[in-house]
Amino acid sequence: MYENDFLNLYAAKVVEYLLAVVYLVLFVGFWRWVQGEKAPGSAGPRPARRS
Amino acid sequence: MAKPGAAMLSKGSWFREKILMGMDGRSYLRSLLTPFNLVVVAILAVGLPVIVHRFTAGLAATTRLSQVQPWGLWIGFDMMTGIVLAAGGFTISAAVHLFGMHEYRPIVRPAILTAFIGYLLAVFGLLTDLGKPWNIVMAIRYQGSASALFEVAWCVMMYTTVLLLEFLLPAFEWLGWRRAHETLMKSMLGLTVLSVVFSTMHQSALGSLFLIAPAKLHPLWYSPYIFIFFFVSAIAAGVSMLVVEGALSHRVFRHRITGAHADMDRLQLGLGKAGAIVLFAYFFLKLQGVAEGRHWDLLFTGWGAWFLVEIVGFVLVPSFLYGYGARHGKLGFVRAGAVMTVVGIVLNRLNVSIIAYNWNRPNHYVPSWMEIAVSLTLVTLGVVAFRWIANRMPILSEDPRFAAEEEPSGMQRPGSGRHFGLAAAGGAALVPVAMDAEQADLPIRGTARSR
Repeated sequence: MYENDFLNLYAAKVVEYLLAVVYLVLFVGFWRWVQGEKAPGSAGPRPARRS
Repeated sequence: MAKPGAAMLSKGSWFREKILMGMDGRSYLRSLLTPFNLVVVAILAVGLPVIVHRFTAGLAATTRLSQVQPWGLWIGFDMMTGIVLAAGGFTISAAVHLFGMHEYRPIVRPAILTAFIGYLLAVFGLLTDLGKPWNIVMAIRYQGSASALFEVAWCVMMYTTVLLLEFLLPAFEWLGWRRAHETLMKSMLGLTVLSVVFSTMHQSALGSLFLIAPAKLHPLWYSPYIFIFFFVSAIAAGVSMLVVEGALSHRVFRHRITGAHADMDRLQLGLGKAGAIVLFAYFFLKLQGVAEGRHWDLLFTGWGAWFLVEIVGFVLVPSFLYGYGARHGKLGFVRAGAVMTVVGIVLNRLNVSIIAYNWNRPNHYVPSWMEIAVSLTLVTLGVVAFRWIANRMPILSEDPRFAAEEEPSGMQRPGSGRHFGLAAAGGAALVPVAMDAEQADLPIRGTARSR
């Protein structure tokens, strides 16, 4: 039997879309990390302790 | 009426001031006796006769090229690498003149000079590689508009002309030609638009050249997206070259630097952010290439290991080095990331055009010593030309007589061009967005200032 290359393309497309989604999610975190931003909801800078 | 003797004297003093850098002939010749110049003479003493030999005896006498391997080191290194490392010119011109990021203006001129010299040498390398170099004019005569090579030829011709015009700006300042300078200043925005258009076209078209060789190029490097890879990696290479070149030239030409040029450290951190973002995107694009061809199994072969060295070791790792350095204000990390990126992009171009090309043939191409000598000679000529010009013309310093004309008045206001950039250049516009990020209060570590 010959493989149907046309239909097999879809398997590759799924992986490509998954990769794109993973990239976008990671990119948001990477962008924030590079810019030195804190994640939303994380605590702000602690006040300095008094001695 | 001026006396002829006085005219001669002024001519002589002009030559002494502009060419001999204020020295008399004997002192100037004595100043040339440096270890660097001796190395240059040694390289040129070997390389120039080899170039003459190539043009008199032909390709067969000087190279290991064949009908099976018509492209070798002169295309893979001189052309492909020379062009991609010159991408800093259009990247920073676009950031400054189109996206309104005028704080990066001090690095525009060195970038344009590097690009101009890089393109001239790439064109010379191409002429050396052509069996019948005089036939290069055929690209003008015959309209092969369906060919990627035709697009490359035209865009390189056009962009080299644009670079020449952009380079003439400091040259006119050096010559004191105010009127010509004013005229050229008015066309800078148009020239920048042209430079971005031509660069975008031919950086990607250089990748498109390999679309016709799916059977020759290893599947891990071949992809229908290869032209996108070439364009995005060109931006990464351009940004990295700006950092490397800035670090080197500010050490070598310290005595020539004045004004805003001295704040290079802070600009390099901004470039580091851009480098991190572009390389991160490029890494995932390369993975898309593997996914599209369903070549995951090939990653576990010897070629796969080499591919991973390229995209992890020289793309992902420098991306994080850039990011860490930019986030924490550590200039050493940014510079290390830049050097690794430059090496990685050179490796990529050599992989595509030489190492992974004809990968399945028993006899693989290895360049002859004469091919290596010619490439080394061209790089040396580029370094010498940059040094000669930067020592004389206002490349790293500003001529105060012309500084007022350079102020951004008719250009776009900062930030207003960013949305245009996002729409027009897609992923490439991430560069100005990243570079524009707040960094003014970041302490810079690893520099004389912080120590």
